[in-house]
Amino acid sequence: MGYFKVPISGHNRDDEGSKLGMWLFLFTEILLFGGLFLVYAIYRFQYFEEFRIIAEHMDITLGAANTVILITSSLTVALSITAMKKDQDNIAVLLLFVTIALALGFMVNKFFEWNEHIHHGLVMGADVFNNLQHGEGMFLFLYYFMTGLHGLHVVVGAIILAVVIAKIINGKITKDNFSLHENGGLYWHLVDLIWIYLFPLFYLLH
Amino acid sequence: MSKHSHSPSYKYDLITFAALMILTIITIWASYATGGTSVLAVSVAMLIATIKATFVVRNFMHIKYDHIIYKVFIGIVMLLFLSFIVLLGIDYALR
Repeated sequence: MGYFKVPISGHNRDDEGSKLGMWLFLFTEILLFGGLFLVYAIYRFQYFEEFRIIAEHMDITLGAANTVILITSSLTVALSITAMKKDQDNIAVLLLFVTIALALGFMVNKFFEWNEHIHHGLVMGADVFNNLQHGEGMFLFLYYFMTGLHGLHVVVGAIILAVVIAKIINGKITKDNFSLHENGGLYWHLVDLIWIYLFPLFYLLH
Repeated sequence: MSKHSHSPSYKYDLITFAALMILTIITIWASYATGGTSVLAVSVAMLIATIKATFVVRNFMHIKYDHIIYKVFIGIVMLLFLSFIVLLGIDYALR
């Protein structure tokens, strides 16, 4: 009872409403990627053998490294929110910097990975790509689109966390007012959540 | 009600992290053990991914401590997505 009541502190603020709004946004994100997962499922059924063959070009080590990086970054975000709840601002900021560093590491890994594929002609327009079976090309198209869209979310998430850091330093996010920190964290966990499914679908199943 | 009745602890986050890392190792091992592309391999991989996702949503995103309405919403979204998959499967099977 009274869970969603308007605060009587005099501040024009509704943390619970903000969080609910964030979750509704996350649902639209889940359904956006969900649609892409359905497309993946259709083509996986249709081109079972071709998906298996082309997936052998994926580097499991790099994929696993990025999985470890993202899980660790999810941990550092969760720890930073715990630190904020304990009123340990400095630790929270430090942990968020570590998270952004991990996000950078993820993107650097991704760069080397894509660079390797492009170098081998596994990219739209290259001769090697044009000579692939249709299903193999479809796998690569989905791979670039889905991991690319996910990578975009990593970049956006890192920017949001940078804003959170600035606001903590400016004293605008505090132990009693850390709604943005918490919602930024939710967004970051979503990035991790999507990768949890992308990793087996593109790297492990061959 | 149960909101924020727990005291924040680093240990809780670290245990969740350890569980996610162990599950990552298991999913890689399972992909080799099941041979990669069989229906069994896909099912096992998706099952482990869903267990990992549950850990993230429940522990890192603090759904465990949130109001029941969040769990209801998540349930509806999951059900919606599951119905898409089932409809897709039926459509594909009957072609």
